[in-house]
Amino acid sequence: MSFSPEDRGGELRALFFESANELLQSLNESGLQLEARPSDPEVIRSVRRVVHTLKGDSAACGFTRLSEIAHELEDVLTVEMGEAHGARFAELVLIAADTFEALLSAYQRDAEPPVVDPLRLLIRRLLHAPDSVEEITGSVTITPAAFAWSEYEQLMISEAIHRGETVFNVALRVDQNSGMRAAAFQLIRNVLHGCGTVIALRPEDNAAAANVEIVEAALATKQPQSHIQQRCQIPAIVSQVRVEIAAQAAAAEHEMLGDLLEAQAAQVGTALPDSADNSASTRAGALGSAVAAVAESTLRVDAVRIDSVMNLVGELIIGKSMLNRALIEFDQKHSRDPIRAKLADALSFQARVLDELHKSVLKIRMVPVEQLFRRFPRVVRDVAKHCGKDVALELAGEHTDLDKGILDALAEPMTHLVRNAVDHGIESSEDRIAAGKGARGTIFLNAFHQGTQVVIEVRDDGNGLDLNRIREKAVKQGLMKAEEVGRLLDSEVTNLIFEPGFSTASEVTEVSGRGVGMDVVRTVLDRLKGTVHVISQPGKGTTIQLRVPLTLASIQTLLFRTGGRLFAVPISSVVEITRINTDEIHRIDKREVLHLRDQVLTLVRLNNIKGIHAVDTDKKSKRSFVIVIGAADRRFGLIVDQLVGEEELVIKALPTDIVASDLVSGASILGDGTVVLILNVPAVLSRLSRSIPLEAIA
Amino acid sequence: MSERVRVLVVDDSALMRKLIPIIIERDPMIEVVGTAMDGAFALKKIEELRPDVVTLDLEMPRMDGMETLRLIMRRAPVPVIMVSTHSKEGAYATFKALALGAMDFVAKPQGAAAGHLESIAAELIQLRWGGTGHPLTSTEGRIHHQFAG
Repeated sequence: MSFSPEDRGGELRALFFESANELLQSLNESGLQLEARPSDPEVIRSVRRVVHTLKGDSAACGFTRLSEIAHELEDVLTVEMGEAHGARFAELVLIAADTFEALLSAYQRDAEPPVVDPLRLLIRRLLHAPDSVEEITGSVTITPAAFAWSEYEQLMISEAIHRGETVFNVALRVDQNSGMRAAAFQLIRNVLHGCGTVIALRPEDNAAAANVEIVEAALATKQPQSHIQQRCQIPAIVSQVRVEIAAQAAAAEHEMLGDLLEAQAAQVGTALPDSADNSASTRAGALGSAVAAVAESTLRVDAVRIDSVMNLVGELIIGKSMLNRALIEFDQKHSRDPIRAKLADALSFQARVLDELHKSVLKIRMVPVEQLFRRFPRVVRDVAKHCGKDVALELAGEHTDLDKGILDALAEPMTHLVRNAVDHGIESSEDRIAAGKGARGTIFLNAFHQGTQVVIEVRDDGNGLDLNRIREKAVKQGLMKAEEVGRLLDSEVTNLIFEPGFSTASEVTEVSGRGVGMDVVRTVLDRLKGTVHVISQPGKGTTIQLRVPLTLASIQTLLFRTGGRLFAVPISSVVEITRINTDEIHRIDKREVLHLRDQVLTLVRLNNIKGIHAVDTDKKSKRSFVIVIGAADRRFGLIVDQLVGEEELVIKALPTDIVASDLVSGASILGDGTVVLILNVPAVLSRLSRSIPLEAIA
Repeated sequence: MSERVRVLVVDDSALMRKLIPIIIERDPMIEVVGTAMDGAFALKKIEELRPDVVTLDLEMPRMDGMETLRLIMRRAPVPVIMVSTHSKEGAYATFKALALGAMDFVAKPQGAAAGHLESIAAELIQLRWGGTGHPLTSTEGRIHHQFAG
């Protein structure tokens, strides 16, 4: 395989953005974890690693502003800083995530990257924040002290240790109020020399000392630590002192490698916060190799490549039904031919393998819902903070698998739903207590399989939907007339919230209530051949159920013929099939209805719906079939001439210039070359509910 | 002796696992035989693939570069080149890695040029051909303080 440089550049760029977004996500998660457990060293280390990787990747791609700010941030991300700043540290991580996101999105659009000064300011402020109590004892943080000694200096340190001296790393913060920095530096230097042998000193000379804030030194001495500490407290010149032992006599590792250098390397290691816990890293190592033993290797593949395999499998499925049809014809002509049996065997074998292949390819596209859910802890936190509410988020069913394409498409509607749930669903703490509930509201996200569908639920324990207000609003906003609204069932009223332009928020807030959102939810779900279902319990909360097919690539359907045309309807939306005599059909309100087991069912003839041109049905046939179709909580009956059977169809999207109607969601080709139109159930339903006259146009 | 130098690239960044092979494979004498996303995988792959040279990132989850290096040298010594992004701890890390038996230390590619990583391609070949002997004796190897760049 050879790529042209441009190809490869594009590929790398795409890879960068993809992995950068994953890194961002994990940064967000870590930020939230830090809010819950401030200064958890494991989390801080992982944040640091993430920022480090982001820095390296963005530098490699030439995104300088991102790599520079990541670099600045990395230096602050130490366990000590986490301990010193707690909540502010968590805030820093979250703000950093936002800043990175803004930068990334600008880079992705080839736009001018935004300025990062706010984050930079925050970093600086954390760095120079007065360190409460600890600074008096000097045990904590003059953070920027790196003690980055040169190779030669390290050698000197180890020699001093071998001579039996103790080496201290000393960091002194020069008092910001002392006027003459260079003179202060000179004084400090004299004091240090008076304490023992100065092996290393930063800054190295007076010239660089004019703007010095921190003086670092490696000091070999036989004097005790407390003495050094005391000597270095020079009033009016040194504001903070930190003295730590740089190296002592041999550690365990010294024997292991038997190398002089090793001893000091290990000691240098302990001076580093990151690798401080040597026993921990060995444990991690043992754990790591255990994991490696069961290691599975993962592969990053471009979704486009999988899609092209998927398309080919689709073609194969069509090929399979062509072969089947040919076999049937062959059977009719030469039923006694022994080749027939061989062909049938070969075909059924091939069908089995093809079925497995199809499933395997589908599985490649499947990803756990977790990938979608993991963004919501941050969303809930931000919105709740913004609205001044106390909201917890609970997740369940994260491991439910779903087609990646569907999952990605659900991100936007889910975000709307979750925001709405926090903003409108959950009441303020006072109201909740007044209603006898706990002060903290909860939002549950849940996902599970049901047949060939995946159900995703957004549930809150808030006040439920205010149906009367929805009725009022619907009239006020001109969606319906007052008398129409009065006739609607409660369940129909809840569906009004999905109408374009509908909003119950009494005032427009920044978070939601702009009158867009819920209709977006329905638009997306329609496109995905899914449904939205709202269950509201007054005072107890609202549940919004999204149902989507497992995959968009193929669909199990029921084929039927009406008006001389072949149609298909997704089997997941078929509730039942019944046979009726034409005299059982009644007319109410200019609509045909059927009385089916004490329920009145609206009947639909496809040739009657505007937008589908089918030849007029033979009205004389006395008996016909009714397919009862349900989506969400609504049902209707479809009058059809003939049932053809069940078939798995590979959906081919229809260009809009070929089919103008939204009532057909796609088409497919059968083995004999017949074209089947796939009925768009939600669209038919919405025509029914918007009471567009159905009997017009034949 | 006309086979190519077989290299294993270890880095936790997916981008780097793609980029580093592209850059060093510009030299026809180099073949990247595999990649690993952390130290644990690296150890497994070294056993499996028996590479001639390993490039190792410093900061990785689960098992970091230093720990991995230590284990590589203990279990199955193979020439290792540390590849790292410039960071404050860079200087310590360089020193420690060399002490632990790393052959050299180079900075990660920067910007579109990514030029200097190419320069190690030649060195990778040398390492194999040169047969520098036991890795622990090679600590006097050059330190490329390139992270400043």
